[in-house]
Amino acid sequence: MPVSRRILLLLLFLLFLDLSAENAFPQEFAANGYQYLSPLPSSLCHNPETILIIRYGEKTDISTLRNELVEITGSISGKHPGIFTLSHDQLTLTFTPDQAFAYNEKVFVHLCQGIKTKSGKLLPSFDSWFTIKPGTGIITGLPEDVNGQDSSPYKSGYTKAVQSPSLSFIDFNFPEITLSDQPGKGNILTTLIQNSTNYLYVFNNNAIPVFARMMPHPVSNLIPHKSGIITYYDSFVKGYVAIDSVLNAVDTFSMKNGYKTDSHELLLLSNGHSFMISYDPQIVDMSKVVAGGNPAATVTGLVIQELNENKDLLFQWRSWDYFNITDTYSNLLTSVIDYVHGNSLDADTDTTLIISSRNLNEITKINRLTGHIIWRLGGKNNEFVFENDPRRFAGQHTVLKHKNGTLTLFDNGVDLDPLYSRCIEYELDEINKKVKLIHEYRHTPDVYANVSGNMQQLDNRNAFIFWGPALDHSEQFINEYDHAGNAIFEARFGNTIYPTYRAYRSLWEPKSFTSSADTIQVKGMVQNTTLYRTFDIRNNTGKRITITSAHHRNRGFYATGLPVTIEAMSQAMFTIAFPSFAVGTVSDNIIFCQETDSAIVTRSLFVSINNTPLTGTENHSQTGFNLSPNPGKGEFNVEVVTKGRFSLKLTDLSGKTIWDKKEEGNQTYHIDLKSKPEGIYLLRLTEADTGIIHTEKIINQK
Amino acid sequence: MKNSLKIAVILSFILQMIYLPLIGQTVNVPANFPKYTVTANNSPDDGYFFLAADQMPNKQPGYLIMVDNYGTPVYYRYFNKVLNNFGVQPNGLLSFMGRGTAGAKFYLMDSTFAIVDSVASKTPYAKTDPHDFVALKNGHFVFLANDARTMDMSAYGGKTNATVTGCVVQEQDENKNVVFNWNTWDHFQIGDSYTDLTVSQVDLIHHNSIDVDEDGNFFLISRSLNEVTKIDRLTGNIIWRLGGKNNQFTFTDPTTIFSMPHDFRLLPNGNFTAFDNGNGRNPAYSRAIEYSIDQVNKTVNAVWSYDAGKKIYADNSGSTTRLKTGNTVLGFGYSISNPAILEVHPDSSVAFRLELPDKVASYRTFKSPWKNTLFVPNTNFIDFGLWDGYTTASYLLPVYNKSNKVVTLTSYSTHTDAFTIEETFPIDIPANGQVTLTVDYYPGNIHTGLIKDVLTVNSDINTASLVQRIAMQVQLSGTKTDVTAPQATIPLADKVNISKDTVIFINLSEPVRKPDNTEFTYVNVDMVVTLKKDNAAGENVLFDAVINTDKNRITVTPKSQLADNQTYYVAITGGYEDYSNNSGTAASATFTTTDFTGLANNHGIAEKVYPNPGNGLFTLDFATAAKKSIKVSDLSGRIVFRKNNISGESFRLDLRNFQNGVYFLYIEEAGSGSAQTYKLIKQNAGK
Repeated sequence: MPVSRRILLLLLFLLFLDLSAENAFPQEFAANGYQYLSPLPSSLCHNPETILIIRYGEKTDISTLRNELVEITGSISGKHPGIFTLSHDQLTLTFTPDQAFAYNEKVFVHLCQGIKTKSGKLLPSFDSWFTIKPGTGIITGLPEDVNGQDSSPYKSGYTKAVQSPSLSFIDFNFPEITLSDQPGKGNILTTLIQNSTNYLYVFNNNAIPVFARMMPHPVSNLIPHKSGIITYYDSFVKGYVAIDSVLNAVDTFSMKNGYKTDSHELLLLSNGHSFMISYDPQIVDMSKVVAGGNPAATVTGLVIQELNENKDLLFQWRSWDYFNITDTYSNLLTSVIDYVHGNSLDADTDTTLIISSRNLNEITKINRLTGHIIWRLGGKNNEFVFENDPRRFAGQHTVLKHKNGTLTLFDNGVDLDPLYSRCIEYELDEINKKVKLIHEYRHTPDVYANVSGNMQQLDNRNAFIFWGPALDHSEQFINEYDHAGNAIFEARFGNTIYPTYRAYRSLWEPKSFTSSADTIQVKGMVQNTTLYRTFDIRNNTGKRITITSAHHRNRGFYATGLPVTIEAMSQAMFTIAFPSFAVGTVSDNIIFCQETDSAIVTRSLFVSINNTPLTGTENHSQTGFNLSPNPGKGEFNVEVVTKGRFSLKLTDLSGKTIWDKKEEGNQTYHIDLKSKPEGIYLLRLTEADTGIIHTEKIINQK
Repeated sequence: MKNSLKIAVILSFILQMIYLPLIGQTVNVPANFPKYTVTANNSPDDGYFFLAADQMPNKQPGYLIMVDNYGTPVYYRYFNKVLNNFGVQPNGLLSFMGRGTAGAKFYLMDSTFAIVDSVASKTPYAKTDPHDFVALKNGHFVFLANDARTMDMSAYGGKTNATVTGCVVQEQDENKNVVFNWNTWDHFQIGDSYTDLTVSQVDLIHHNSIDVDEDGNFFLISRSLNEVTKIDRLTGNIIWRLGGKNNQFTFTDPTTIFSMPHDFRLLPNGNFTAFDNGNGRNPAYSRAIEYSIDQVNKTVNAVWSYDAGKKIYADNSGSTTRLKTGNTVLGFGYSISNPAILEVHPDSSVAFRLELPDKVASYRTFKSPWKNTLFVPNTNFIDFGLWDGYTTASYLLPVYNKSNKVVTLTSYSTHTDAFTIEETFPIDIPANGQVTLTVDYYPGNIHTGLIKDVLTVNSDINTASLVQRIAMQVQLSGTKTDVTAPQATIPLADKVNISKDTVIFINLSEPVRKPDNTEFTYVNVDMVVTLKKDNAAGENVLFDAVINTDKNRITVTPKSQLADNQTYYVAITGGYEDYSNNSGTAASATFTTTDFTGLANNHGIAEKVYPNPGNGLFTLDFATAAKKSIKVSDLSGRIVFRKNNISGESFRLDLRNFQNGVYFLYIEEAGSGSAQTYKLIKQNAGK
């Protein structure tokens, strides 16, 4: 609905509200057996689209639910009939008013007696009220769920596949990768920016993109989920989009109650429930909060929602009701104050939620049945003893609790002295409120990222870390560390192409096309005979695709017949040729690419050549050239034994070129230096395929 | 000789136009809205330019326009009337003249742009004249009217039944009673006038401005008399006469004597400004001039003037407005559309320049702060602070509707894409109600530490009966972590055949300031610029330098014309930094001027212009593929052909429908700012 129609007539000008926190669940409701109410009684500044959530803590007898048992009256908008629903767990009642409330009104709720639990208990009646925020029209512009590709936010673009697609494997600026020993399995998922263009980007341990998609709008936070889908935040959709392994958009996730979805987190549980956060700006008279405060500051709070598998709202938690604005480390005197800046969620048990609030320097554990705060770690309201870590943490990201009870986080170390970022693992004693630092990872050399960054603990307890953008924007790093703290993988990005926000290690790979073989092996080649190996590539999508190119380092083999178009859900045969000169032991990958105007998808096949040289073939393994005679009297013969393309250049000692050639295969040349002065000349051969350079001094005598 | 001088003057004027248009902010405007361009924005004063843009040459109806320093229109309205004199009155209201079939009338508008009053002559024999109108603080109105009489002019060698027009100064009180009515027929002699008395329609007086002195007396310009007359408001007696045949004053410097001026205004310091058209001056040029007048001893001393290098001549109309900071706004009236408006600093450097399309003109140009009170934001300035590199920051901006009717916000604009409004337009604000707009800050692709912008929120109406915009503006700023040093580039580097009248741009990759964290202004930016002949060791060349409002372009204007075929060295020292304290580095360049005497076929922007002389169909082969704009003027300086955004490496210029003769072709290259002028000779084929 357009804003203009949603903005109802206002009786009053805006009141700059003093949003006070610590609005705990009133005792009388708890005493009556209620576990959770949303909106909280007497809470302020809700959105007009707000629905009512009631949780009594026992299963409800659905036959006793009658819509007229709830009386909701807005001070401006009047009575709001609505519809009761009971969630799958039979514990959560939601009441959805027939239409949105008016801005800047007070809403009165009365629940009449009549609803019974399954055990026959009557739910006590109650009265409550909450207010709707002053007039604004925040657009939560998420379209209806995206199913299939037609309404997907990106262009699938299989149309102009064959000739020079605009997104080309060759032109891509691959990250520089340092490997040591054995990096972890799987691919690296991130979003990145190159030349101001946004990409979804999945690459492997060889720095090869396995899936790269150019996005017309900023995207971020590409997260692999256990269910096999990956999700990313799309700034155009203003929500999360899920794509499956054949790269179709299959789902979207967005906030309810009129909140706009923020990019910082999407938590999906195995039961299909999703958690998201919203940044909720409100106008606050900060002069009442702090001396010198702006009387009309925009203060941004945090709203967390839990949706069930049907995307129905089950739970809503607002920082306004629990955190004081003065808890923040942000400057309270500015006109724009982001006082919480929530940036990660983790569900460590079925009933709790761990929240990272960056601008509070705080980790908060809450009960997600009741909303109650269980504990607060760090920040101004810290309840814990830091046994061996007096530095504590500041401006942190990705706080995750693990099965063994430890807590990991990316500690940006904002404004701590000295300035560096680190990743840490705490042993957490929730009973005695103690934390003990058991692991600390720092980049060598130190990196200080005042924003972004994440840490993922892999199943083998390796740490996978994106170190965020260094303050000087020089380089960015993604590392994997083994449990002993050794860096076993590093991807390094310059300042022209860089990841944003987070990076994850995952076994996820695109399966839009798959091959019948992962490895191609050749043994015992025959002289003057080219061998061929074939395999199938299957198109697993509903649209025709074209395999446009294949890339490999070794020139002893090549793919034939590209490009190849494969019909939807069909397969085609591919051939790799091994000419006889490919001699020796070769281990390489051949990377088949589907390049389109907006995406690259690749699949790597391992190629192994194990060939014992045949009789009298020492030349086959030789490269370079033979020069004779040397020294010589103005006449020289050069026999090039390199097989592939090469360039040959003759220069004098000053570097001036006297003669050069670019050719291929065995060649013999006659060089005449009779007219040139006596002295030393340089002959230099560069193998085009390998880059190997051979040089020899020619001594020209008279 | 005289003719060639004139050509030189006009040529210089054409060559002067080496400015790059700023990005136009005229989005979402009606199709017939004049497509003006702002070509200089070097920290002019705050406030809006007020134009009444008539369609020329016959003064057809047009728009009232208020435009900011970036060229963003914050108010416009189309009237089916000939318009002029749009501005702010001493009584705090807006006024404009509208002339329809029933004659001229002065209209008054309040700050919601509602017309609240109108004023016209109450004297039956004197028709309301459009030239000037003052709404005084005490509620009175002063304006001019025409008293045309049929008379026998044979005594002056004229017609026996000529129509001879005299002038009436009329004052009405707040109830529109005429309290003063002063008629030139009672005070001036026919022989006082310089006008041609032998024609059938004799414009005897041609009054064009009226102002009120601090002692309550009137100052009247009678253009046909070349005279400013001070009139006693109580008795109607003439107090003194300045200029013309009855001049009583001595000018300390005879070169400062005005010729057929406009817009004689009293300043708060007791001095007077005028737009001195300079008719009959040789060479002809117009200027703004400020006089200190000793009314007792009858001496006149010019204390300041600006003549644009004597390169601009507006033979009729024009205006001069002194602003509070000392800047001066020149409006070039009906005769010059390029530039139509100049604002100059006290040191004569250009602060602002606006060009109107050829067939649009504004009789006067005012500049003044103004605030729409129809709908108002709760703050005029939002600072988003330091961006965290990832998150979109939001500011909630309440906007109040102060009227009893719904106001519909239809669109908004900003200069950068760092700032956006989340809500979808149109948005209705209920009568006496409010909406809150969510202003977002996300400077993702902007590579600078300090980002300044202006949010303009428009309420447009576009119906058959009303075409109008009313807008509000909010200043925006934010910062971003920036460790990249600012870079200076000089587009003229290594260029040859550069016009001797060129200005030199030094472009900065981001806004810059002085290393002591104070701002560069036109006063101090000269300190970081060097201009020399030949090379770094060469002889200094005098220049003026200004920095633009966005602090990322320095414009260097040599004080006098550069020499023929001479290499110049221009440099910026390292004495600047960006707003994140990253120091800038020095940069320098050399360029070489053209030897203009050859005129034809110079190897500059155009590789070749041929055939020249030709029959009118000229081929221009360009040396680069960069976009060009070209203008062709005739010997009188009239632009006869203009085309912008020419791409490609060749262009066919067709002048076959024009008279034979000499034309000047001016080619400007987008981006580099370099420009070239060629002389074209069109002659009959076969000659």
